[in-house]
Amino acid sequence: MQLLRIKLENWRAVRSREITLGSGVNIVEGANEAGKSSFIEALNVIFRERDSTKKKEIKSITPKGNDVGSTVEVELQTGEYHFIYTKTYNKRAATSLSVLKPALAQYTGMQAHDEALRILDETIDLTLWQAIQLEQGSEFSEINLRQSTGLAKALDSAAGGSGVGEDDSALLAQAKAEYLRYHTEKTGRETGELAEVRLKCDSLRSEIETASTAMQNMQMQVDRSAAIAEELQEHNRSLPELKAALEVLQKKQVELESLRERNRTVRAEFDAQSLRVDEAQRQLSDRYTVREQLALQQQTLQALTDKHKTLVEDASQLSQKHTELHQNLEQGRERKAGLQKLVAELEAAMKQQADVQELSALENRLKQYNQSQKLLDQSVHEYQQYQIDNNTLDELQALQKNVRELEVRLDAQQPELTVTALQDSIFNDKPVVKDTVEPMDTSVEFEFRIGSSATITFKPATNLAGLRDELQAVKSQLSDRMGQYAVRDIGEAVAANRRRNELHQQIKGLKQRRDDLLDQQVELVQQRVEALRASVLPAGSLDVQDDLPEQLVSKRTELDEIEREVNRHMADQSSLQAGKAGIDAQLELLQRQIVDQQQAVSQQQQQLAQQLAKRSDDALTEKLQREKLSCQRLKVKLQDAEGALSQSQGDEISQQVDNARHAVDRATAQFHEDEKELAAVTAQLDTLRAEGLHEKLEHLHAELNDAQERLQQLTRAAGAAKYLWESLRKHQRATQLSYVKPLSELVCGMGRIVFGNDFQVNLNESLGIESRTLHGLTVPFDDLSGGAREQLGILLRLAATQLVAGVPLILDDTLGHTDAARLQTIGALLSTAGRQSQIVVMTCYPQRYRHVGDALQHRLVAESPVAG
Amino acid sequence: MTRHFLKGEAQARFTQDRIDVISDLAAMAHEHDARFMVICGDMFDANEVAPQTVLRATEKLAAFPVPVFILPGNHDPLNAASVYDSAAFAALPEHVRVLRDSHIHQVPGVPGVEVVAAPWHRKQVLSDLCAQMLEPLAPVKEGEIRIALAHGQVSSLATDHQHPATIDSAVVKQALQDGKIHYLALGDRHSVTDCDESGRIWYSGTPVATDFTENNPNQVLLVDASVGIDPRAQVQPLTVGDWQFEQLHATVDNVADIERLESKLADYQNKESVIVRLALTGALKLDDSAALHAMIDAKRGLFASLRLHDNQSDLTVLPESLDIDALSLSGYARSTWDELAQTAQGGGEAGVLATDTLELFYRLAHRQRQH
Ligand SMILES: [Mn+2]
Repeated sequence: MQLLRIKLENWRAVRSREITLGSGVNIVEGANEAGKSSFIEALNVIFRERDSTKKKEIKSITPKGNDVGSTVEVELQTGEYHFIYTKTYNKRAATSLSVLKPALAQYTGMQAHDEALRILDETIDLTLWQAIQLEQGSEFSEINLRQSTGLAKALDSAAGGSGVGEDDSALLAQAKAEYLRYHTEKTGRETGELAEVRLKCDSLRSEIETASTAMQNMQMQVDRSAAIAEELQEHNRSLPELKAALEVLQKKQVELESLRERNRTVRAEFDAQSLRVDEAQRQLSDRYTVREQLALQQQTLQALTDKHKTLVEDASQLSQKHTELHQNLEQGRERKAGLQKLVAELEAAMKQQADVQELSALENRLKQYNQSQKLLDQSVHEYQQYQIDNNTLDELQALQKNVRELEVRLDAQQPELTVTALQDSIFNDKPVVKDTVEPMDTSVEFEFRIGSSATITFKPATNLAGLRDELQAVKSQLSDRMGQYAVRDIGEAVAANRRRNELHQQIKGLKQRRDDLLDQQVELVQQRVEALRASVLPAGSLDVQDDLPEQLVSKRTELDEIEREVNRHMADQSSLQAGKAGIDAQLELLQRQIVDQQQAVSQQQQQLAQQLAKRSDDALTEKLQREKLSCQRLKVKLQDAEGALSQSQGDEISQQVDNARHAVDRATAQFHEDEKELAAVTAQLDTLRAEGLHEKLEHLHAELNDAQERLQQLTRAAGAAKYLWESLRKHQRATQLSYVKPLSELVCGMGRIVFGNDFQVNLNESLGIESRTLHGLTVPFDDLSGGAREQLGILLRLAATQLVAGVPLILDDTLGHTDAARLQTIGALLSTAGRQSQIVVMTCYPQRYRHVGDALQHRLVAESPVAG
Repeated sequence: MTRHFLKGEAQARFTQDRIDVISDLAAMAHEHDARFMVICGDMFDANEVAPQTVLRATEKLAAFPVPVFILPGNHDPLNAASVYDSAAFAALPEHVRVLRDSHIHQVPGVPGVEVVAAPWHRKQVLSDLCAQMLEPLAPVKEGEIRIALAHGQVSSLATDHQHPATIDSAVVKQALQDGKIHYLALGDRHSVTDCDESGRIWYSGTPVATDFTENNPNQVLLVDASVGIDPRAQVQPLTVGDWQFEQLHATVDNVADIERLESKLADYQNKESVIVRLALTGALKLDDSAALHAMIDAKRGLFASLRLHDNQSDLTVLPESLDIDALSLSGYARSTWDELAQTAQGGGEAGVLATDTLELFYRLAHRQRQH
């Protein structure tokens, strides 16, 4: 499609202006007031609005201060068509279409409008084109930079058939508003009047239910009232009947009572007589009892007496036995005493013999002991003479050693001084022969005179003198000690010590030997010996008998036997005594029992005698017979009375009376209750009637009817609103989705020319640019620079126009954000795109487009105001 | 009586007129020199009517110029809740008498004329009360007149012959022949009805119309039951009420039909007391449908009630008649429209919904065009 020419007359500020456009890129240059936007507006309006439209936007096209019609004329080629389309709005509205190709045709009015749309619809995607047109009408750079959904919005508006309308009047918005009148946005629940009316219906129904229940209740009360009234009538009829029946029964009951009274009297007489018979019977049997008891007591007394006799005999036998036993026992005891004496004599003899033997042994041992003691005393005496013990020896040896050491030391340090006489001389007043060598004692100070010629004084060194003193002291100490122990030298000391030690050992052995001889202290042994000597008879007075032990054993055995026999007799004797005591006790008891029994028998006999004196046995028997006869007569009388009573069915009558009385009581109570209930029901009904339930209910029904009608209307309207909204949404989405793929392919193709081969773009469902990918980097649209967003916007539009079979692209003052370098590539792109479809650029800044290679330049100069 | 189709003022007027009619009857009695009036049952819609209704009615009765005999019917029976036992009735003067039994009552001030009645004591009755009332009656003395009052269906008209409460017309006729009564005044039917060739058994209908189903409502009968040369009683229906219940059937397919309906509505007199129920059938274009509803809406205020009777109307809107081109729909809006239109033509429940939706669509798009 290509626009060839656009002409405006009386269009806003434009009085008359025409642009002729070429294929490819057209750059229309003009100041802001030159009418560029009027051309864009006119292009939008002519294909959309009928000449008859009354819209405000169209009305506003009328030039200020000049109430004339506004005309737009467009000449264009599309498909095989070439036509001139003219529309005048507002005053003298008119439409005309002159089709030049493929065949000449002329249309006017609605026909022209319809035919123009038909041609466009046949040759291009009218919707998309109208969307693009709308978008071009809006201020591209503003909207598209703010949000990238311009095209989708334009599509929405184009689809609604609306003009450059405001968003909230758009069809979709209206459909949504209509939907929201009845439904909530989030959950789609019913809302607004629909929900209210539905609620009202429910509440009315419940109110009706309540009122109906009250009505039913009232009807129930009415029915109950009628029923009670009937019951009362019934009571009025039946109560006297019940009362009469009761009276009859009560009369019968009185008769019955007198019968019962008679019966009671006879029975009482009979019972009294029976008691009398029993009394007579009892007296007679008491008499027999007394007699029987007496006989029994006499029998018992006899038995007791017999037993006493037997026991006395037993006791005398026991006494005899006891005497015999006593004699035996005495004999046994005598024999026993004899034997015991004999045994004691034998035992004494045996002891004497043993003592003699012991004494001799002890005396012998004591002798040995004394000998040992004597030896020991000698050794001890010698021992005491040798006083050098081991310690003393050690001390003496130490002193000896010390002397030797000191001597050695002195010897080693003492200077040697020898005087050798070379001739006979006198030294120290003593003559000395020639060649005599005289050693000098150098240990002491001395003077040496040689004749009278010289005196030599010798003084030993002072230390040597000390040593000599010490030696002297030790030697004197040693000699003192030796003297003390009476030894002359150390050899004697050693020998004395050795002897002392030998004697010590010897004493130890002797002591041991001595102590082994006696097992107790020697004094005790001596005492024992003294005691034995005193008790032992003089030797020879004792006849030593070897069979003494045998005799003793035999006599002891004999004594044991006798002892056992005596013990046996003693046991027999004590058991006999116990038996005797038992029998004596029994005899005493029996004696007492016999006395008691004799007393009882005599009492019983006395009692019987008294009773017999009062009344004889025969008299008692006769009385009993008399009473029995009388009782028999009364029994017959009683049977008669009872027979009469049993015939009268007494129990049933009393039950019947009770029953009849209850029936009367119950009926009366029921009657009163019914009266009470009737009064209550009537009062309740008065209250209920005052409520005017009938009208209330009618009123509620009327209201419900209204509400239901309204609900039906609303439900229907809500259904339609929902259906419309959902259908529109469904189709809108489908349309948008159908454009996403071809558009994004086109945008990518063109983008690669501008940005390079790795350019990618991502469109969302709303046909907005979601993000751009360049050099592998994906950036959301909103984060791109102003220039990049602007360039992408142009790309999107170019793609959209190409999608609509190459409809013209009209750009209104773009590239304000694009830098010089990009301007060049965009220029190249427009140039290339211009070969595919016509591009019309409206701008105040033509220099931005100087990089567009093949462009036609147009200049719109402001019109000079023309009068008229 | 509350009518859901009567709104506000009309309802109040209707209610008031039903009470005021007693005054109208009083005036007519006076005008026609009637000697007494009988009301043959169902004077009240129910025993449970509001106390003020009873008060207002009894006030009018107290002022009635001649004796009034009231028969309790099945709607206002003499049960424990009876409206006739209310304080308002107890306070009425002698000349207003509720007939509580079937004894013979002398009409006060009219010697030689007596009244006998078969009152209802409960809502449901399982016997012919009228026959029971007639059975023990002795023939009327020479020169005297006896009027009987009964309520219920009469067998000569009843569709429900089996119902035991139906008034046996044969028994009534026999009683007339036997001279036990001279006229049977019947209540229950809301239409004035002459029940027998003897001309002595009549339903008097209702003095104020209450429903669409009534024939000859708004009437009262002026009766001369004296026995003269003419064996028939002299019965003269007099119009008293002025409420009209009209069910209007019409076919509307186009503008002409709508106009015809409009002129029909215009012809009604006293429209403020006319209740119209329209039973319309036809298929209309959307614009015409809108015009029809607009016309009805415009006329509604004139009438006591004017409404379309949904149950008896069958009006359809033709979806294809919608001028889609006038809406310049394009794109998905257009495809949505096309889909809805197709569903609408498919008919059925979905079709009705689609048609409604198209109407809404049209309205919204149209409004937008006007914008
Ligand atoms: Mn009735």
